[in-house]
Amino acid sequence: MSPNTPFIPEQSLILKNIIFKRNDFTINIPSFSLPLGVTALVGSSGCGKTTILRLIAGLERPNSGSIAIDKKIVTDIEKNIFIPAQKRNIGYVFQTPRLLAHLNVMANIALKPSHSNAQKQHQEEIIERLGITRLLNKATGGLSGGEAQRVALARALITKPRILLMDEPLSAIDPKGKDELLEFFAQILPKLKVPIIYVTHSLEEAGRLAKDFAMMSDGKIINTGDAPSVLSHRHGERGDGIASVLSGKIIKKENDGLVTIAIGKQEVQIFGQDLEIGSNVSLHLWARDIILAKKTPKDISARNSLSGIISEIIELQNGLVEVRVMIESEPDNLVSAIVMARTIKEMQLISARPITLLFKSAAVQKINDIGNLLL
Amino acid sequence: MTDIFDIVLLTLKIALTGVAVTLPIAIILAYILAKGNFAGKSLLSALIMLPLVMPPVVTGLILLETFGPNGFLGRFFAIFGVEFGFRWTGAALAAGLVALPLIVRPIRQGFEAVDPDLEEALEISGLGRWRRFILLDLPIALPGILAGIILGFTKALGEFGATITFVASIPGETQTISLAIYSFLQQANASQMVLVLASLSIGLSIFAVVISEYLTQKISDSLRGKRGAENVA
Repeated sequence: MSPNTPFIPEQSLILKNIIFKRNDFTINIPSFSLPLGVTALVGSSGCGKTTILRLIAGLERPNSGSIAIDKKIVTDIEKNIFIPAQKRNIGYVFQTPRLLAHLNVMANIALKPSHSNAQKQHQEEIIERLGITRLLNKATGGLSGGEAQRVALARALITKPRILLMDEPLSAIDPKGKDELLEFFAQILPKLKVPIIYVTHSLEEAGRLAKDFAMMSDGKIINTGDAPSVLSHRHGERGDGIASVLSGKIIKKENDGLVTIAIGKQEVQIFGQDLEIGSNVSLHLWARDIILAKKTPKDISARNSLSGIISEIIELQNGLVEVRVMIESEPDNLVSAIVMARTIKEMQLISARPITLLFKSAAVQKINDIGNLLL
Repeated sequence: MTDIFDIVLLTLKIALTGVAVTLPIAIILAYILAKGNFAGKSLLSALIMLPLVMPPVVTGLILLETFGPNGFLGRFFAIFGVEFGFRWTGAALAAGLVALPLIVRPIRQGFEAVDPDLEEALEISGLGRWRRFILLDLPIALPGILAGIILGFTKALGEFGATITFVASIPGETQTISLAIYSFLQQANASQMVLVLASLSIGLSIFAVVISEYLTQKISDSLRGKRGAENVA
């Protein structure tokens, strides 16, 4: 490489200073790098998730910026580099399967003749792993939605792509097929030795499939990291959209729908009919719904109290303060509460002091349920 | 009757050759018009349509001036031993040129009907333009290509004005059914020949259209996949 090569990326995918304008909409990604494994790209409809995939795939050309895949620069507008889509070696699973109706399943997968034995072996391996051997001689018109998306995934993997892009692959499938395919993806995707970007607006899908999250809003990636960190430190429009995520295990279920969840040695109660005893669950709590108390009060309607240690006090705008409380000495179990700045003085709250958090059962939501709330 | 048989055979030879030579050019032009986005696209489109709207006698005159014995293209092809002036090859050329717009139009519509989403999916799968053309564009455009062939063939069968201007009406060389009908009309006591040739001409056209309908239906069914058949089963 020449000495003035702008950057030599180590990660599988790096986006730098990407600007893409169409009509009134702008995508603006100063910097984004993709970790290995499955990354969920989440955000509301129309926020630009699909456009990012299209930019990576070379189906759209940005107005400026650069994209590198697997240490190779595929787009660099300033240097006039734009490798066409067909030469990028990318796997892409679209919202609909996009199979050719006049070819059978096998011909749709093996679009290019495979010459070497290694290629044939790879092809057979993919077909077997995706469980589509019995479909090979079928016409694509006879496939169910789920089967067709499996075939589309096989087509994407057959070329040994350097990166796999999946754009809401469950969105056009009936509910039953959706559950099956989601289960199948959950099993197969982590085993594929290829970095994956999975676009979805469903946090349920994202939570099932991905370890890493990237959250988009209005053409920008506003947060990246693991699920709890992405979901917990979102700043809403009014500056008070701070929330926390707690992980626990369901230990008890009562007839009236009250479910008890163990968070370490402490317990939280929520309402939820569809939860199974023994299963793990992630809980979402808005910081503005939490009351701080120095002692646990008696005769109070809030069903939940958690004790912890104040780990940090952060001043926000408008006379508000965020108090971060560590539960069960577990750094991952941080719960934020928002109070008035004067409350800190009046209650004499300082770091490392014990504190009790109070909140209603109704204030707690399972991560799976909050798609509409967050996105 | 041998006369009639020879006339029909010559007509078929001229029409088929004209369409066969025109077809690859028509497919390329249709593809460029359907997929391309370039300056002068409308001009090219209008130019291709010209033989359809121009008086056939003018088309024949242009052919005579360019492909005739003294035309620059005529002299060029003569180097390779291909002569057009007053030869059946010239009649085929006239038939092909007049048929060109009729062949291009349905093929262009066929290429335009290709779903760009499918094209994108193949592009991402690493397929270059040629492979995409073979795997996707060509099969989707096949009914259009067939329609173009039939339309062009029937037009070529009946071509008159450009042919008679360019290569005259020479029995056994350039005299197709249409030219023969005209020629017999000038003669006394030949009304029976005229009737037979006219009937044959109508018969050939109907046959071509029926075949075209049948094949188009077959191809459309296979392009849609076998979904329909399976639902019935």
